[in-house]
Amino acid sequence: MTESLDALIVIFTEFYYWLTVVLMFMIHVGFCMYEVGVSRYKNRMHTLLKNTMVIPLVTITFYLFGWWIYWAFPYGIPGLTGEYPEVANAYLPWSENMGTHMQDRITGVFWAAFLLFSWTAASIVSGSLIERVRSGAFWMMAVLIGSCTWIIDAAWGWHADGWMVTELGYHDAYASGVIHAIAGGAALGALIVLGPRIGKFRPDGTPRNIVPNNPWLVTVGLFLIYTGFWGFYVACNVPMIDSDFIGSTPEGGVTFYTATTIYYTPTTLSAITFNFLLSLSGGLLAGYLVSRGDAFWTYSAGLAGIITASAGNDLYHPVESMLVGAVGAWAVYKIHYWVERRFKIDDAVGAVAVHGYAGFIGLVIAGFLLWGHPATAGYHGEATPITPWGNTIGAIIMFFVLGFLPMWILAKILNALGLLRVPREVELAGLDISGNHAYALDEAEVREATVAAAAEAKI
Amino acid sequence: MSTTPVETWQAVDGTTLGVIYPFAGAEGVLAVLLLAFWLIWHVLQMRHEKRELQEDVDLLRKNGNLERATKGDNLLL
Repeated sequence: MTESLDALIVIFTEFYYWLTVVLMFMIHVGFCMYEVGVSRYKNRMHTLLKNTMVIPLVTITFYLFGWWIYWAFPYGIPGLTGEYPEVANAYLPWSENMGTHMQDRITGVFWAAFLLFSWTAASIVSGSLIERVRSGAFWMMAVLIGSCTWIIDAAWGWHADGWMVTELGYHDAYASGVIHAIAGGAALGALIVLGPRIGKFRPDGTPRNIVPNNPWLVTVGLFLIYTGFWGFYVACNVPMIDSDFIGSTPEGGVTFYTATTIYYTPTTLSAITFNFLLSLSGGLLAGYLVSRGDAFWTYSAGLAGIITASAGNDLYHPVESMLVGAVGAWAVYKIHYWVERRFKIDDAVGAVAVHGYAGFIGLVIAGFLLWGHPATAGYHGEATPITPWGNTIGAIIMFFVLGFLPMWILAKILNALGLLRVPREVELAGLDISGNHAYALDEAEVREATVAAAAEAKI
Repeated sequence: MSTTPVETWQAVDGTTLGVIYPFAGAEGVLAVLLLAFWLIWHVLQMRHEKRELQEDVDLLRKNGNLERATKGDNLLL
């Protein structure tokens, strides 16, 4: 790194990803607040800790093998359906690149940006299971999606050389599928096995509304998720790269500099700024109308609007992005309640709908709206075009194959071992019962000591 | 054939490339759609609010509910 322009690009990129990590941390804070706000008073501490401990557990497993998977799996399953790329060796946990290294300034920040996506994927599942899942069971689920399945889907469909990109023309610039559809599918797989909370459904099968203990915390949490989502979007881009590197410079032509998507296909930061805000607006407006001004669903619909448009937000015109966001928000509200009534699925935060259905729908829409646009970078030579069938197959892989199926199997195993759900008595009393009981004993002891001290003082 | 002006990223003249969104040339139609969406939203929202407020008034006029609500009791009859 001796040329000044090269040095500037590398250090700028290092700092850029570092900042995205800080911004994305707010997503996790937001999810924690949101879940605690939605849960009932008797379950608050359990709910908070369940999601907080995603941070260390997914971080260490993502260091151990998650990051290596991203680099080892782009051509399929190494040794089985695709070759093993030697470059992946640099991302094994004992590699020198996985530490302070003066010749590699990017791995740490890039690893962290992906890691924050991992937390998000696990967090999405977390909310839907609150108030009855065992923490230990959820933490295994968190590692499954956070450090295994989502990063396999990223290698396949969110890598410039991933087979879904080069073979199917799969396009998912800001992770409608690779984070949201998979996490929604995984949540659904877990929920089917876990079952509803006690009291959620009336004897005739119609659902009851379990009221959040703190609606204000819910809305603040969702605002924080919006804010962190900016970092998420920015982290999905390569901020500055030259056209020689991505194979876009014509022979004898002029080299140009651009931001690109994760696929090394050119875009601009302006594009995602326009489209993030317009798709958020479309989601909020549609959500307000369809939910008749329900605050929880209006906020969630804003998120659903962004998620639906995310697959194509590198390319959409802002008005297209807004309309896509509005369609997605309207659809997920309707589908959520239909699924709840029809299949008795108790998704406490609407995560399957807001993330899963919105992500799935967004992928299908992007296949149509971006039909024919190159999915692949210039260096691949002949372009693989984006198509409706390529993105629809991709949506099925994300939601069902890598999302729903592995989580359903894990939940089945945990359930068979009696490790999935808390005992009925504890669920009725509240999952904080042991902590609250200990607090009560402590308080009683201190009160008695205080009374005794007061009596002694009188003497 | 592509909905955007780009069919390949190989050998692109970066000095002349302009818009790359789908259906370039339809900006006027998109602006009209945005305007229509915005105005229709206001109409629908006001209709909904009017209906909701009328329902509130009807409820509060029954069974001493107004007095109950002003005392902070949200469980109206």
